[in-house]
Amino acid sequence: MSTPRTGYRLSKGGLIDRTRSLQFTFNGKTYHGHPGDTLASALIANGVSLIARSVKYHRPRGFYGAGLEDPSAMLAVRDAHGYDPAIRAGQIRLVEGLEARSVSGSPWLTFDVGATAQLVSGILSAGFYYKTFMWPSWKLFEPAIRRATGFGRPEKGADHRSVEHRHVSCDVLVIGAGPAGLMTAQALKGASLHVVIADDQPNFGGSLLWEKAEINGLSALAFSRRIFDELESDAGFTLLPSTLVTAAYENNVFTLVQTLHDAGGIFCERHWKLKADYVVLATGMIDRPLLFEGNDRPGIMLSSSVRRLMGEFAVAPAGRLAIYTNNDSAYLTAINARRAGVEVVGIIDTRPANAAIHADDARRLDIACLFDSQIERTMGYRRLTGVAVRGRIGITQRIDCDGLASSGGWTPLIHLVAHRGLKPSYDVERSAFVCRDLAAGWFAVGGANAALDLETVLREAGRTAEAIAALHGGFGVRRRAFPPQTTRMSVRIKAASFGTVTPQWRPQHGSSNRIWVDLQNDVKVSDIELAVRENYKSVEHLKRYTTLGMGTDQGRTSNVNGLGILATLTGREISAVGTTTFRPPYSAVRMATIANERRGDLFRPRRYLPADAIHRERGAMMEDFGWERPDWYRSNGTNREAAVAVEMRAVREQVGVFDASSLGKIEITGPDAARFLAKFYVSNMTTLKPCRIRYSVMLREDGVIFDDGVVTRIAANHFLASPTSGNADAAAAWFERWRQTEWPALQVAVTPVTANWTAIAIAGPKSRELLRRLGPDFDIESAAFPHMEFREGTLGGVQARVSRISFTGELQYEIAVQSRYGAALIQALLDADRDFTPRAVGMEAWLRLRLEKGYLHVGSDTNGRTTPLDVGMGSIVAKRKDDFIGKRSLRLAFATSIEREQLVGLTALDGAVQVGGRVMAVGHSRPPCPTEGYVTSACYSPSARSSIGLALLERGYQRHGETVLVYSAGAIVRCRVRHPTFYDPTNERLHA
Amino acid sequence: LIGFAAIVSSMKAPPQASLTEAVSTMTIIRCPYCHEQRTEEELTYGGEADIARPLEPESVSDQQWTQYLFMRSNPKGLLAEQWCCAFGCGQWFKVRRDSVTHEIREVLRFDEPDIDTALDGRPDNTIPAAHERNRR
Repeated sequence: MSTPRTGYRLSKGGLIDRTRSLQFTFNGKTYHGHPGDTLASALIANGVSLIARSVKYHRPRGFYGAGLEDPSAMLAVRDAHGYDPAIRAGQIRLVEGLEARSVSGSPWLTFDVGATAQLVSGILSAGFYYKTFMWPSWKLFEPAIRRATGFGRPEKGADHRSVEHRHVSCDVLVIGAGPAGLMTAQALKGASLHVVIADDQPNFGGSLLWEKAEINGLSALAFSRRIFDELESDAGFTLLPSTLVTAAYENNVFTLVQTLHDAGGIFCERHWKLKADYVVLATGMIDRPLLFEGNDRPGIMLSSSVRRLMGEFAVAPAGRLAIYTNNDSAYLTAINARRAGVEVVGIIDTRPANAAIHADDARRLDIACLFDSQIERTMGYRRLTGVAVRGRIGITQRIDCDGLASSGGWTPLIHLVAHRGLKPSYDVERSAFVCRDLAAGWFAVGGANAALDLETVLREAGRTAEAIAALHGGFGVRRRAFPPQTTRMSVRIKAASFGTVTPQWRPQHGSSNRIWVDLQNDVKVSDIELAVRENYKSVEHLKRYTTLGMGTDQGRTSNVNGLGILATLTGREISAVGTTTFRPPYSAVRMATIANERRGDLFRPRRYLPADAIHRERGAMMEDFGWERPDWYRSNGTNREAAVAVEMRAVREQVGVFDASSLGKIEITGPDAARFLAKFYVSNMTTLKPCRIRYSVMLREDGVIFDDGVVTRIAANHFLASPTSGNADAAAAWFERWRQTEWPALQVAVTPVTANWTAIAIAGPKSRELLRRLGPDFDIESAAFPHMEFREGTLGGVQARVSRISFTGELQYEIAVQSRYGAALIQALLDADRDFTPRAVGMEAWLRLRLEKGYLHVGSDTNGRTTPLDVGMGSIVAKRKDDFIGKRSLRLAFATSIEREQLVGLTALDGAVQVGGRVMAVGHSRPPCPTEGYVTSACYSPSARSSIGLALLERGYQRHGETVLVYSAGAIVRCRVRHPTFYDPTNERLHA
Repeated sequence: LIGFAAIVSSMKAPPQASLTEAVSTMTIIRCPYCHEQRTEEELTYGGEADIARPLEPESVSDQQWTQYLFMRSNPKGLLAEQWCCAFGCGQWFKVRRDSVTHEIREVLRFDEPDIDTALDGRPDNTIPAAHERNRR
């Protein structure tokens, strides 16, 4: 009956191409496999059993499953196209030249110094790190502890795999192309629905690819092929192999990750965003492991994974296989193994003999069956060598084996349901968590619904298809109700081939310190016992305290066992214990796949100034301020500090040219424009005369400063508001929202025109001369065109808007022309003259000049609490009689408190102040200590010849003249508190 | 995109006729101004609607003002909220949405009256809502 085999590769069967051989490496050693293999099956076929070290105790670990269900076999894998720092060996299809490495084990997998952790495993209990590394500070130890944990290391540099994003909608999404998914899809044929079927495996069929069954006279495999062919030729069906549904979101939106393969491996990942009217959850189920002492040794695997390895990949996981079970499905594993030529040394069944329905079949193949028996412990280190079995009458016998397939019942894969926030409930009869409540349009079919035989699956599939078609009005039938509740939801399992499960949570034998519940996180029964002793009895607390069910596998194999033990220990039913939340994604998704092309230069569109090329010609060092703007010019100095000093001096002594084009420009027009603007600004815009300009701030309704800028009254019914660059869009949206929702009766229009104009500021004592050179057709003498006025006219024949305003404290004009003239304007301004040389000035010099003048920079010198009362605008607020947005809030207790942080200037008496420096509370000379404010802007001021800054300081207005200590970057600087204006306090230069 | 998600929403309930077309597989709203259907990504969310700004802020108490500023009903169920056709015509409008099922019950312009007045338990309904005042 048995067939001979070589090594661990079975002599026949499997979906592998034995005519071709593929070479790959694992930890530098060369091995061979076949097309159709996974990395896992190829390694097992080569007899590799030690694959990883566990995360905490560095225990040897082997393959525990065959695919995604494996908590242990995480490897770093490189193919011809890319690199994955941590992926399950069962998720990777073998290709020529694949390189795989263990991600744990130091210095070598076979000799890991970290394994000494096992010697002290008694004290490495749950919460060990947090309890032990408290003194003097957890932060001191954290980096070293973090380095010792985790799976794999990412590579530096770009990823070469290509990524595609696709967005689709369909009528039905079938998740899983096993028997349940395929049969439901087949039953939907002819319903005129667009059906998408996704399966994470390259071949459709699920368990039909490896289980022994006969359907309509066909083998399971042939049956699945036939349905696949039928669906593939039907235009209504989209088949997505190698596609994992990673997450489910509201409104039936799903994310899917599809891998596209060629001979070199995965060359592309496709990220799908898909929405569906109806969802068929046909994700199947996985084995739940049985617990026993030493249950983590390499060689111990899930029973259904063993069947899959033998059936789909033709590999035997062991030379001498033992079976441990509390249900009937593992008998099928034994029978399949025996028929494939694997030596099966016995079936150890926790149940009495009369419960086993397949025992006779097994005995007929000379497989010994031990009933009422438990595994007491296991032997071996790097690989299992035997198990000690205690029988019904209390006698322990040793069974030599190098593999053990264990099955403790079933866990339906219902994570996607949980992503929608629905809690699964425990079904005692089936000893599994099932979904009684499903989201709108969802149907669970087959294993996902804990169906244990193909007949049930087939029945459920047909019924689901009928329900979907009926809801959709398909099959030419009128829309009608679902079938009655009883036939729809509760499926009776008769004579199921997988039989019934007698759950066993806490084993009767063995030390709880040697029984692993969660192999990925090294959580043992003793950790759960400790958690319960310390009163972490809620399932959510248990999870966080012990890390049970965390990590990349989110407790796929461990959760239900953990809950069962918690229930046993606390004397509750499992249903009363409940479950934790499974969070998306179901399996790790690479960040590069999510990012797609939204990285580097394509992260978001860059905005360029109209005169960008001219700035670059002048050696502008560009920075991203929302727009690409010159920070400083290399033509003004070889380094930033030198150039900034030159640029500042140019403005103070001659003239500087600054591109202010990104400053917001919003036109407000209409008969009610003045009344409308008055509602937004702290200053009253109705009293502003035509051709005059006023500076003010805008508040949110809670009184906090939202933005500042100047408002120009171009004509009686025509205003131009200039919000800050960063707020240009937000301010326009703000005006528009209030106009529509609160004052729709006002006759006013809001038009953002920021990009239509290029605005160049010229600042310095020679700026009037420079403006004159452009040939204005209007009088620009100081008396005729004073500070804070506006003129419209032509400059050298070009229409221009000129505002005499100042950000620098010098005589300054801002010239705005249509954007197409922008480059010509700045070129003309920068042309040297025999009298003086205008200099291009960048952002940094510009901001330092305004700091010397003590002008506010919203966002730097204000925070989410700053009101106009805190920045010296109290008298303007007091003058306003009518209402504006936020005014009422300024009378609330928070705004009028005497403890407010108020804007002051700081002059450093020694050293240099820096942005972010904290003002230490009075009476303290050394940190740590309470603080009374912080430095919001700082620089070295050439005019003041010292380091200066602005600060938000508690009770700042009353403290001018005081000396305070500022702590920043490890240094303590003495500073004199003063009025924020450091430069030209009488404004003579502004009005020059 | 007219689906029947609302009907399927309760597996136990018998199917019933859909009330509005906006019940769909994704939050898709037809703008009542430009009449285009747009997905949530093309729209801007503006929080709860019908939060009336006091007509004379200076004459209300601190408590009434902070009520207006901060207090929102945040119901589990039907909620009136503001949305903006941000990538379309730019108009703000009002939506009645079920915060549990995401069903869109009504989409309204600010210049048309509410069909459903079930939501009138707002904090201070002595202050008329903006759209009511503006119609005067």
